[in-house]
Amino acid sequence: MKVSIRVFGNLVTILGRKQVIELNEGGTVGALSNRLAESAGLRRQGYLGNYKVGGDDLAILVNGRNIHLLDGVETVLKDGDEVVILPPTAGG
Amino acid sequence: MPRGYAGKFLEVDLTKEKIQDITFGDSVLEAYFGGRGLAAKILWDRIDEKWPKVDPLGPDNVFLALTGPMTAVYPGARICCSGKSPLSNGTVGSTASTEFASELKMAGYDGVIVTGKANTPVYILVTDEGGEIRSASHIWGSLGEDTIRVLNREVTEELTKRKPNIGLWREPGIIYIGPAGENLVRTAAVMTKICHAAGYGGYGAVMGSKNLKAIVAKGRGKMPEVDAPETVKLLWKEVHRHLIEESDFRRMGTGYAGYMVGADTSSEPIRNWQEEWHDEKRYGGPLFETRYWVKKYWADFNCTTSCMKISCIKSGRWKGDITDMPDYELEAYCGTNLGIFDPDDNIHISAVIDNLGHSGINGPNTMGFAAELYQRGILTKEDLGFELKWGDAEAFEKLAWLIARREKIGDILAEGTFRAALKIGKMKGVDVMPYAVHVKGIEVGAHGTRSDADYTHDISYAASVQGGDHTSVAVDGYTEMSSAVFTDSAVICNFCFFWVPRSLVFDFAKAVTGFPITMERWRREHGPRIVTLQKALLLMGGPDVRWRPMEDDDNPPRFYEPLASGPHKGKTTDRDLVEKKKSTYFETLGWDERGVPTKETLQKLGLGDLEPMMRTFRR
Repeated sequence: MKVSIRVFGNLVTILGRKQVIELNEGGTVGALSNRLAESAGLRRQGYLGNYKVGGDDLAILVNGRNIHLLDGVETVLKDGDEVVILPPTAGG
Repeated sequence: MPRGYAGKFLEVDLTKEKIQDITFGDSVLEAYFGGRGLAAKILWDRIDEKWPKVDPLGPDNVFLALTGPMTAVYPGARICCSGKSPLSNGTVGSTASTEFASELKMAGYDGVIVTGKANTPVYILVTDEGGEIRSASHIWGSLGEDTIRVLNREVTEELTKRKPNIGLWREPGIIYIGPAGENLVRTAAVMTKICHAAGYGGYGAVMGSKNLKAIVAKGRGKMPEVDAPETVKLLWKEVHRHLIEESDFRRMGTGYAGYMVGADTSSEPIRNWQEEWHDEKRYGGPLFETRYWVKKYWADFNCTTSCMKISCIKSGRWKGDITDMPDYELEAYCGTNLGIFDPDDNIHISAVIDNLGHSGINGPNTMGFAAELYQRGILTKEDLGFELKWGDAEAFEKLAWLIARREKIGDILAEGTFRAALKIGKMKGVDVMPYAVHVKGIEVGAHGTRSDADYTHDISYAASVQGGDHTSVAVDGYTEMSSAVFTDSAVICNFCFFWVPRSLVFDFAKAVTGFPITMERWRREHGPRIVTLQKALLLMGGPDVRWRPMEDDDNPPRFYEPLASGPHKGKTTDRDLVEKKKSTYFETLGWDERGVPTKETLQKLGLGDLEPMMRTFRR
């Protein structure tokens, strides 16, 4: 199944801005972030850059809903889902 | 009395010339905290179902300048100004960095609440002895810098006379308005420290409508006690360490962004948002840093990040102008949005805007709007009294004065972009609303949504209860509750918050107040309570305009036009995504499909008394 990713803020340089990822059916947010980390050559388990996946400081939204309101990193993704990864960012 | 609070608020009735100390119950403070949240609660309690009828520029509006329990204890002291907004007819929590906040707390006050209207221009003085109303006739009409100079000297001399044995009185904290606020320019800011502003919401005009030129605070007492002093000390050191080690803003503030937001994320307003990309390499931090900054790493009270810089023009046409860096927003709005790409000109316009007490974002948004109308031949030299070409700093300076004084077309432009568009449309017989870049009356901050490369996108403004306010955008109805909604109510600076692990900040909040605060509770309960209350007040709106649920929860028309240039040329905001995510957003907050809070949600959040009014909005 295909899931589209949008990344904002200071994770863009590490993960790129937009991409479509192929995942196995039943793949979770956790699996997705592992795949992203792998492709980006990141080594720290369960982290994207300095942010813990599923932690308080990184907002991960599936179709506009924060994963904390779903099943956290265990949230199951479907074909066509849109995932937004949003580090704490700013206005100026 | 919960800790962190000084314990009382100063209530000033300018009509009756009555001053008294008031307090709020512990449960109210726990539920609404301070700043933005508490202001919305106070406004609803006082104005109640008369809300739609209250003129924000009339004597029945309330002006509030509130701190929060974390102000001046946590790094980055700020004051939060609020009231019924003359722009959105809802409320905004509009903050500015200033010692006024810490002086207020040391004088024993958590905030100042002003009602009514004075007969003649006045200012309010707050000291350990309480509050007093003093004449401001001698400074009515004064520009920002002159206002500070006079009040500083006057208050320091007065206090020295009263207490000669104290020794040298250091300067008081001052919030004030310029000519723009005095003349009820709807977008006018509440100013402080020459170049800081509580810009969004138009609260400078609310002060002006009360003949209130300034509020001055000087406190010699101790800061309020905290619940767990040893913990606070430890946590403060941790927060401090994170900011020193990780903050991106220490070197250049946001001043590097004048170039980057244009070139990289293609989301910078250029000529009234007709474009959002540029590649003007000299227009960014390094040039400002080397040529203009005279004071670096200068901060406000208890601030670690120290992003503030002072720009001073030392030679040339505009020699002597002083403003802040400018920060990114004013590099964009007092610069690229007006077609200005010259740092000298940008600093000059920024200094003019500061001195007149215009909001640096909202004011030049209207100025850019006027310039586009001039470009299209809709506004003429006759309307303005001069030509208004893009990039002409002298013309834009004239325009800033025209609006501040409400002269010629300035009188209409002073109504803010949205209302000016309505009036000019009628006047000229042509629909100019497509050129108005606002959301619910509040002009949009300098981060566009079309490139999808900046942090703002689809529903960031469209679903926000504070319209175009870029500091408090809608994310998912959950995350933002523990960022902007929290910092505006705790009243601390975002730039002392962004690099600090959230858990640390919320532990700090608990250690100060003793309230059982967690980030989760703010995300599910406190934040939604405040935002739902703001949404209700926004829906009630009035008296001149009321936003239509769904239809007006939208981006400005310009944000659906394809980008004209740059690497993201052709892109635009995705309308389908906006509609879809809006529905999800409303659902997450427990509002109905049109964004009206449901009866269950109101009950759950302790806002049941809003039900009779909200019922009238449901289908």
